[in-house]
Amino acid sequence: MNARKRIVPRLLSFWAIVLFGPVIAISGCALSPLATRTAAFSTAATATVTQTTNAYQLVNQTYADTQMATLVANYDSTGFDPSKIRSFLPAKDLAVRTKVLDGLKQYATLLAEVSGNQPITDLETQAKATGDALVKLQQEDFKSFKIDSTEKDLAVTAVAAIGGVLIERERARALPGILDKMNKPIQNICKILEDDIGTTDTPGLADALHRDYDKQIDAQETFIRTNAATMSADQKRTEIEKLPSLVQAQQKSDEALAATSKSLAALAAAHSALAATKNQKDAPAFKLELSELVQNAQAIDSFYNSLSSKK
Amino acid sequence: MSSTQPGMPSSDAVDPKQAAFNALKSVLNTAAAAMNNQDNTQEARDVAHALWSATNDQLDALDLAVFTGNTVQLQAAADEMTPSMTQLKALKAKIEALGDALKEGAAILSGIDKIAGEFGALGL
Repeated sequence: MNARKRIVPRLLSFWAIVLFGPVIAISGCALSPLATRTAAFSTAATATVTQTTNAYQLVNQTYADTQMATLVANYDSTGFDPSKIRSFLPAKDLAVRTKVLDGLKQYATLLAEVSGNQPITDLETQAKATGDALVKLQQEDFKSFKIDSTEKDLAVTAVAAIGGVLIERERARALPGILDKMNKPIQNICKILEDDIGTTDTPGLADALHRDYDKQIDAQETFIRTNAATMSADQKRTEIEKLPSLVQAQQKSDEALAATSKSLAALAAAHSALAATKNQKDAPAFKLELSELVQNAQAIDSFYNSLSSKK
Repeated sequence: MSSTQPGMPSSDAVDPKQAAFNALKSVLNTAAAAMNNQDNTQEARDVAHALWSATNDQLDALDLAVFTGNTVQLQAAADEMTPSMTQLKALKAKIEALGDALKEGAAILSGIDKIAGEFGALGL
């Protein structure tokens, strides 16, 4: 009998929560505006990180292609020197970029996880199971605690709402401070990665990539000139046709690196806007920055994807 | 000095790397024009081509120097992320723990009927 007496007050406590739950549900169920923006930022940030990784790969791959083209064009005069075959970007420097980009990706993932609705969804699932159990109560002594489907739905909503309020309180307490502290390193990292890339008019990888194509074009012309006398008309046509293809590839690569650089700038701006609008319900400045970030990501995605499909 | 933060890459117009870059690009363009000029003798074009290649090597070294020069600053900026990442991981753990605790509470209630049945069977 004593055990039953202990269980009954616990059930009464549960019902007290259920009765107050719907009131809380009105304010607690939906994600906060900051959590929604954080989740959107996370998706765009992950895309930018992937593009930046692709940019480094593109530079290294094009350098390797250039070495190959130069070797083929000059083989008769210079022969093959294995010591000249190397990656353009030193492995130790590239490893630091990889680590930093992984860190950015992890930050974006964690932001999405702490901003997401998964804990509430899980709780809702469990609350539904609880509600179903109460609907199906069989023991005679607990028949008075049986509930119908409508009451069950209310109970589930209430439990999820309480969870939502508690979780949102934790988020609201910690997330703005984290975003503020993270802003400076994010700005610095994006600026340095932008500086890595540069433009075709400043020192950096964009210039190196552009000139690699110039070198490939030069090597291809040398190859054609050197071997023209022994080529058939069809062979000559095939080799000559490679020249405009190289020019087109150069243009596309220039655009891809410029867009990647722009994405990094947009990522920094979007994070600043995210941190600055942490206490705002609507954040038009953030939405604008995010929209630019997403547009840039889409613009270069297709190019990098086409490179992957060629491999 | 530039308007960028201390320790950050400079965007200043008198950046020595940019000045060297501009000078080398000027040589590169002159060499490219000379090697592609059909009016020049083959010997002159070959000399221009050698100059073009050597200048390209210099520019490669300069472009690479920007990249490798940024590595230390990048590592420092990445290290600055660590404390906030730790906080973010702690927040994630707290949210998960909260969700788990609430789920556990709901799970206990869902088993109430079974528990009561077992008590009944024991004659309590």
